[in-house]
Amino acid sequence: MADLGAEWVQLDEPSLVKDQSEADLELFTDLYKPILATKHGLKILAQTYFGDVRDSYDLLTSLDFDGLGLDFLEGAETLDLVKSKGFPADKTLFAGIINGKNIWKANYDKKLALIKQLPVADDKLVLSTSCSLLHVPYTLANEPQLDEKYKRYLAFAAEKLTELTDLETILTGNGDAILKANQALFAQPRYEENETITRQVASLKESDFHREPAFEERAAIQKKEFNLPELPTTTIGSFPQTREVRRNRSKFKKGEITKDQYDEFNREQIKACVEFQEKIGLDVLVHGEFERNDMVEYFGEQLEGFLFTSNAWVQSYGVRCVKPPIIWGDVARTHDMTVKESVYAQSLTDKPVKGMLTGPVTILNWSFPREDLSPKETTYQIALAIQAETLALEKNGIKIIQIDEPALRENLPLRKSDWYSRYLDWAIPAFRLVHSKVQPSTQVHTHMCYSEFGDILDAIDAMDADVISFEASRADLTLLDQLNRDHFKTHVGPGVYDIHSPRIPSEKEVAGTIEKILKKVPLNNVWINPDCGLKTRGETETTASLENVVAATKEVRQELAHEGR
Amino acid sequence: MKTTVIGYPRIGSHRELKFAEQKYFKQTVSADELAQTASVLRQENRGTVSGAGIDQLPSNDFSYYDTTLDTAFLLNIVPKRYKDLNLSSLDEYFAEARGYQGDKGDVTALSMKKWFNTNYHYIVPEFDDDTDIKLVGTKVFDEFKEAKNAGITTRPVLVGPYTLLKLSAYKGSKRPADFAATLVKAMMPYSVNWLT
Repeated sequence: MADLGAEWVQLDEPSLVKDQSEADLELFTDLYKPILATKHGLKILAQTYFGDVRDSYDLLTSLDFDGLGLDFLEGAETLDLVKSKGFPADKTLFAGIINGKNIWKANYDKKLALIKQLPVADDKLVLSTSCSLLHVPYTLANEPQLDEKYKRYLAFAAEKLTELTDLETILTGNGDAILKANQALFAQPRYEENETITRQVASLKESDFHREPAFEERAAIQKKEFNLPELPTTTIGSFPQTREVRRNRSKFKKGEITKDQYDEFNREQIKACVEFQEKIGLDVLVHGEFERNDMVEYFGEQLEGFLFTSNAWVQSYGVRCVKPPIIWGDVARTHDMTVKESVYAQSLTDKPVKGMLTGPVTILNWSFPREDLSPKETTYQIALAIQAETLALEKNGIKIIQIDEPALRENLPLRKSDWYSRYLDWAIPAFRLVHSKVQPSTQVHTHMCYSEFGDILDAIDAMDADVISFEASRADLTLLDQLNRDHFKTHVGPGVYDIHSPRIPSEKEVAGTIEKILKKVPLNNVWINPDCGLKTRGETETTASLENVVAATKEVRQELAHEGR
Repeated sequence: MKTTVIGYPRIGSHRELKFAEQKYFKQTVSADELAQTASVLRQENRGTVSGAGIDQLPSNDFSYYDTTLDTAFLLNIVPKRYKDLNLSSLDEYFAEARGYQGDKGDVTALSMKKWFNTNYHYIVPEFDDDTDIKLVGTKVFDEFKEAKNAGITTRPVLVGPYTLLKLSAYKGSKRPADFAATLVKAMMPYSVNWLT
């Protein structure tokens, strides 16, 4: 590697924005002292993002780093830290001022005001993004169908590059026209308020957030209502989006087929899916979600207040991407969004078919949120829309309704002291608002994935769902111990295999997992399901895996009967 | 005053990387063809970022799957069950990311977790008492050289040692601090050799 000639190396240390203990800071020091003592002229940038470094600022500024990367957007205390404590004159400040997580055009006046407060010399300042641009789509140039009246307020990765250079140009005195154009944009209102919905949110009462009767009473009513076997089996909702399913959607979007043709194809898929589930012996069925491209985008496209894009993909895991909608204005429901498909699926079978909705917190967290309305108010607007859909499903004979909140955990503030006050105190009520008005016999399910929520189990229980399924298989089911310890009340389906991998779990493997679950969770509280939706999987592996799940469940049921448990 | 970005999207402006990897997994394109697609995507990104007038470009922000996994892989933090598959380096990397089921064996993927408060997921590196941390990979150097050959001196990016230790899982009796000395040692030659 000799003679490569790098000037800087960037070491990403976002863990510093979490709460730090003395031992943490000691470990950080032990790691970096030797590295920084052998730089041999190489400059080292300690890059942080997603928050501020209030616990380690003194340490970072005292160590021999050549540059510090700080987040001035999500870092609530970053500006105060550099102003009150000062910034070492020998270090370069990589100032994260352009939002790497959201897609709104920057207000240059505000950015300039921020930059002017930074106590660093011009040659020690690097204007940067608040985090990697990995979290925003590539470019608005890929969105030719999006009207200019929207686009002028937006900036994706490529446009954010221009924002950085625009600010540099303005600061070097050559950007008067650029600044004036930006000021003109922000001088006018961006959207028209929906007064009905803002009034509705303002008048919410405490009772709107509580479902009656209490959990235990509902559980007894529902047991009679559904009469399900022990260890009821179900899936999380989506079935494989095969090439044909995607082709049907793409043909419809291109106008090559009519809406009726599009719907008819999906009805055939639903029928085959329901037949398949009946054949292999699942207890609670789903319609398969063939009409949905994405669990958030599908709702975003139908609700008022959202903007949707064609190619604004953002990586989620591996090379899998999502296309988050943009919450443009006030959110409102204008029509049924899921009723038709659920009612059709239910008409095909005597087994219960779950209605499938996406919860308000997830819709917020998996969209690009507004910056001119609080997350709490935005989420309550969405919750009221999903509440109306929940009631429409119930009215049309759907008795089990799953309201997915896979993303509930992910926006939990990174510092523990902020968990409730800045998030859970409105996020959990928002979920309750969705189902507070349903009948006692209607069973409300929810699903959460890839989450470590052992530490917020009380809050999860307080969502007051009847059943929750979650991802646990990739985390070795450690969550089970926590459920056991915290006397978790909600009935649970800890996923029995990992759907994010193409591997097929054997019947024996699944039976072993079920046994493990039963060691920790009371039999009557357990549901059996995969750990997430199946849309990303192929049909062959899905069929084989689900057959093994059902066979394993039956095997365990027989053992239980045999043992008289 | 200068300008930079911490990292840039890597999937391709029309998700070219996704499609190339899917083809690789179905064995309809070779490892070399996949590498070629990746190289073109990096080149396009450099063109976009430097073309916009950004002064300092990062490198090694590209990844086939996840940059945390990349850093662990670079430093030989690979559990034995994946090494025992005796796959090519690339396939061993993908086995960690996605699991492997085939004629060489059957292993589940490493755990995956949300990346801080985002909807991006990282692969959780796994340490056990036999983990032998040492610099074995070349990706970070290769991608620096690739950019350098294209006339751009980039700022290589790695997940820092502290965050790497904090985000990893520990299956044996050793704790994060027990790995600090060897981790530093493995990262030091890298910083020493970089410039001298």
